[in-house]
Formats: sequence, C-alpha cells, structure tokens
Amino acid sequence: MKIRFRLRKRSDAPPVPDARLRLADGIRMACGQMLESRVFFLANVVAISVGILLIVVMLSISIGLASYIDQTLQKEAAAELIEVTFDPRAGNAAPLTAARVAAFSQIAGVREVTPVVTGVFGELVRGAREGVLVSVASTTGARDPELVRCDVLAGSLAAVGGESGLVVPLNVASDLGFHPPSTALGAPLTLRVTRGGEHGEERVDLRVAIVAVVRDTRFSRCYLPLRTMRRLSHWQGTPSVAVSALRDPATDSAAFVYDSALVYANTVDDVARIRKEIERSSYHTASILDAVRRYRQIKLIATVVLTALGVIALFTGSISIFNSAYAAVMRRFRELAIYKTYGATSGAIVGLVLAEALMTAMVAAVAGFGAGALTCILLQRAISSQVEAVLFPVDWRLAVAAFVTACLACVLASIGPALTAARMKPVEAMRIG
Amino acid sequence: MAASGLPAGELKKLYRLDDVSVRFRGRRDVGAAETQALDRVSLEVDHGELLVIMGASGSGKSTLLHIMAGLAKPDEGKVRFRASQSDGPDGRTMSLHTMSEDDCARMRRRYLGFVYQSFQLVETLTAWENIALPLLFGGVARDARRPQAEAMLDRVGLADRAERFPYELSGGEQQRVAIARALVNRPAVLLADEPTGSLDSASAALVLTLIKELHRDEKLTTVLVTHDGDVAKRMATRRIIVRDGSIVSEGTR
Repeated sequence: MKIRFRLRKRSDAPPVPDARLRLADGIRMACGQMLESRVFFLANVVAISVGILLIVVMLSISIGLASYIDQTLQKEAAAELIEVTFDPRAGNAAPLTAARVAAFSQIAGVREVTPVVTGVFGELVRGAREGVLVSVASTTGARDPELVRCDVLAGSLAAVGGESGLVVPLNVASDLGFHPPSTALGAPLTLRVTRGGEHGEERVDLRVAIVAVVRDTRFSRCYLPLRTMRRLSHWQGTPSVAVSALRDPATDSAAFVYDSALVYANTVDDVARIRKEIERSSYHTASILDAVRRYRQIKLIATVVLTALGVIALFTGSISIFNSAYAAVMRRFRELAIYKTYGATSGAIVGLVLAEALMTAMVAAVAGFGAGALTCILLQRAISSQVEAVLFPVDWRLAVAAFVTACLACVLASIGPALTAARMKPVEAMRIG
Repeated sequence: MAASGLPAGELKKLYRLDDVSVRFRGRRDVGAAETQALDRVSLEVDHGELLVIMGASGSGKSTLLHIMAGLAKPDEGKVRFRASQSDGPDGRTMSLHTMSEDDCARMRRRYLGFVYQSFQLVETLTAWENIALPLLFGGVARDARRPQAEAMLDRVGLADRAERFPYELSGGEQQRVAIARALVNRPAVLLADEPTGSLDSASAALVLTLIKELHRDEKLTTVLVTHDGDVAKRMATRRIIVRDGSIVSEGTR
C-alpha cells in the first residue's frame, strides 16, 4: 500500500513514474517524529483520551438505558396494563365498587379487569421468631398479570386460591428464615393485623401458608386471594365490624370499595384510548408507558449532557492537537523543505502529517476506550446492588465509536497544519530555517 | 521531425532559459521595496558541461539555480529542461515555468541532484537515511534503498559512516553526504549552490575534487554556483558572471 493524495491537477506532467511514499515508510517516519516530540505527543493523547472516555461512558449508558427501556416495554407490552386508582380525597370519581369495575370491561379494547385491594399492613410471624412487617395486596390467582410478570422461584401460581394461600417475594422469605426459598412452601404462618377500635387496639391472627415465592414484587408486597383481602380490608377499615366477619361470606357485599383496578388492553395501541376513556370518569390512571417515557427523558438528558461534555473535551483536545501539529510543522519547516527538494510531493507531506495525527488518534483511542470501559465497569458495580439491569454495558460499538471519534478529531485538527506544510515553498522555508 | 532528428519543439540542450525574470516583493508594512533578483536572463546548458555561475552575494546566482531546479518559479520567461539527448521517454522537454509544484518535485527526484551550501541534512536521520531520501519519496523499499545509499557513501569515501548522524560528522563529511544524496538517483544534472561555502579549505578541496571527478568520469552535467574565482578557473568548462540579476559575462576557461 502507498500513501497517495492529490491536491491539485497536474499542469505539465513530466515523463516521470508517479512513484509514491510507501505506507510502511510513512508510518515509520511518523513514529520517529512522535518519539522525537514525545511530550507533545503525550499531551495530545491525554487530551483526546479524556474526550473519548466521556464519549464511551455516554454511549454505554445510552445503550444500557435503551436496552433496559426496550426490555421493560417488551415485558409490559405483553400485559398491556393500565392501573386505575380511586382516591376519595381528590377528584369526583365514583367509588370503585364491583359494578364500576365491571363497567370498565365494557370499554372497547379491554380484555380483562381485575379489582385490587391494597393498603393492608401486618406482621408475618413464623413460630417463635420475630415477626416481619409486610404490605399485603390482593391477587386473583394464576392469571393475575401482577404475578405473571414475576419470576417464580418456588411453588406455583396455580396453587394461589382458597382463602389462605400467600405469595411472598424472596426478601420476605429470607427475612422469615427460609433458605432456600423452597423450604417456605406450605410452612404455617400467622398474619397479624391490627386496628384501632373503640376499646383500644384490636388484633386478629390469620392462619396463612406460603404457596409461591417469587423473585420480586411491586413494592415488595405479599399477595393473598382477593376474597380474603376484601374481608381483611373491611375489618381493618371499619371498627364496628366484628372479627367474626372475617369468616362471613356476607362481607363480600356489592358496596365494597376497591383501592384500584387493573385493566388489560387487547393491544398496547389500545392503552392510550382506554386511559382517556377511564379518565373521563375522573379516575386516575397509570401505565408502564409513563415509566418508559420517564426513562427515555432520563436517557435523553444523560446523552445530551455527556455528549456535550465529550464534545467539549474533544474540542479542547483537537485544539491541543492543532497547536502541536502546527508547532511541529513550524519547527520542522526546514526538514519538510529538504523533503520537498528531494522529491516529496504535497501529498506525501500531507500524508506524513496526517499519519502522525492518526498515530496519536490510535493511541488516544486505545487509552480513552480502556479508561471508559473501566469507568463503565466500576459504575455498573456501584449500582448493581440498587439496579438489576445492566445500565453500563461494554461492547464492540463503544470501541468502534472510540476509534472513529479519535481519528476524526485528530485528522480534522491536523488538516490545517498539513496543508500549511504542503503549500510551503522550499526556498522560503530554507531561508526561514 | 526537425532537421536535428528530434520531434518538432523538443529541446536540443539540457536547459534553455528565455528572458527569465524574478522579483522579490518587499514587505509593505516595513516599506521594503521590490527587488529584481533576475532580469530577463537567457541561458543554455549543454549536456555534459560543467557550468560555473559566479557573482557577488545578492547578485541572483542562487535564485538562478533555484529556478533551474524548479524550487522557484519565474515571474516572466520560460525555463525548459530535457533530461536526455536520446529520443526515448526521458527525452521529452519539460517546461518548468508551467509545471505544478508536485511535478517539479517529481522531476527533481528523477533527474536532478541538488546540493545546498549548508548541507541541509535531516538531523534525525543517519547518513545513509539522508542519502536515501530521494529513493524514499520515489517509493523504493527500505531493503533496496540501503545498498544504493551505501554504494553512494562508498563513492564519496564515507563507507564507514553509514550509521552516523549529521552531528557526528565533520562539515566536509556532511557535504559529501549531501553530494551522495544528490547523486543517489543517478541524476541527469547536478546543481550545487556554493557547496564549499561553509567548509574549511581542506574540506573544500576534497568536495571540489569529488565534483570534478564526477564530471570527468561520469560525464555528469554540473552547474556550480560560487563566488570564488579560483574555483571557477579550476573547475569550469564554461563560466558566467551574474551581477544585479543579469548575466554580464560569459566564456570558456
């Protein structure tokens, strides 16, 4: 391979073979020059490396967040879930009774509606061990999308049923001393729920048994069958209700007000329209799409900020390269004039200066990518206890971006000095030299 | 076909300069005036002759040499060059005054050997690497460059100095390396700009002897610029004197 640049059209070409500087010789000369001015070289490498480091981290978090968002969206898109909540203190919505919940299923595009009872707090007690405070919500069983989305570690969601089948997240099972999680299945537990009554604090102990342990649940909740939760919530929220009502089927009245409802759309495209229709009745709705939108905003902000920092760092690095390339050209004016006297064309001179820039770019890219990859690994480790997702992946795309960016920055910064060197007149340069 | 046997328009001589003028523009900010470096100079150089150009400092003799080497362009006039007397592919006439800088560089690399007064060796390259520069820019591989450069070092009597850097050589040795560099591409003409100007008398005598031998043994056309009358008397087959940018005297020795 040979370096060849043609800067202008030939005017009156002599019968001379158009031989060119060999690539290997160009690289050898560039390396020699870099060793000669190693302080400038190191300063340039450091300046460009910092920019590359920021670009690599920016790209990594951008890829990580995009992947996380896509995965979450994909997972949730299968459920096409809308959560409808009723807050009696705000808005004019009618209480979420069984009839109201059933009415949601009449909206076009709705596949299924599940009423939800939440807000029951209690203490799970295992024998003589100290109790574990838990928040309990209702579940409709194996088809409940709240649970379908969870990874089952032990037991089966099909076993959720009856009146006392309890689903717990892994952390609750661990706090209760069940290691491994499978040892929790069928273990007798007591769910202790209290309320402030007319005669002071009242307490009820409910016999429950764990039927499934899942990896993680929303807000680390435990789940009990809807019917049990409805009675428990009714007892806890109504001081006049006797403990005996917990076993009374009459508690399942049509007047019971649910905390929320989960509405399933046929497709994710139906979600926005269904939400609008439900919100017209003054209910508050939420969807995973809101979280996705928030993630996207965070990603955009992170990308813009880090890109801006990377560009600023690269810009200052490029100025440093421009300065030192220009200084090197000025310092070597006599040497370059000698080259021209003995047959170096403008293209060969440009090639030599750019070869030096590319060498700097290569070293800076390796250093910048290495430092960036290390930063990503450390950041990932730092957040791994908080976030399960890989937000700082390190892959080949980062390496390609590092090399392309470094080469572009170095070459663009060196073009001006290279052209100055190429246009130099040997006789004038000798006089200056 | 012309009567000489050459195609019409081809040059019979090595060089022909017609009414060449060069002006140096003075800096306006310091009010410096324009200088007429060469004023309608016409000159022919024959194949195989040793032409000595004489003149005082600032007379324009170095500018004339630069024009002949294609290192500078005339403001007016024509500079034509024909490397060979044969009609082969190297026998085409080149018009240096219209050629691009890159074409001039290619021409120098192939047909010209140029020697500066102050050696102009690259300090970071060894003697053999300095000599091999025209070959380097001609795309000759490193393995092939070295033997050619060493042969030239041997020719100028410095076979044992191949790996020395310029600062490790005496002035005379540096100038001999510079001459070896000028000869390594087997040029059609050697242009030397006061090659002994920076040397002591012993080193100068060695360099002049070398140039004389090259001319005598290899019939190498040589154009030598000097302000030393003795050198001109001893060396030249023809000499010209330049004063204030014009040729004022011309004659054989």
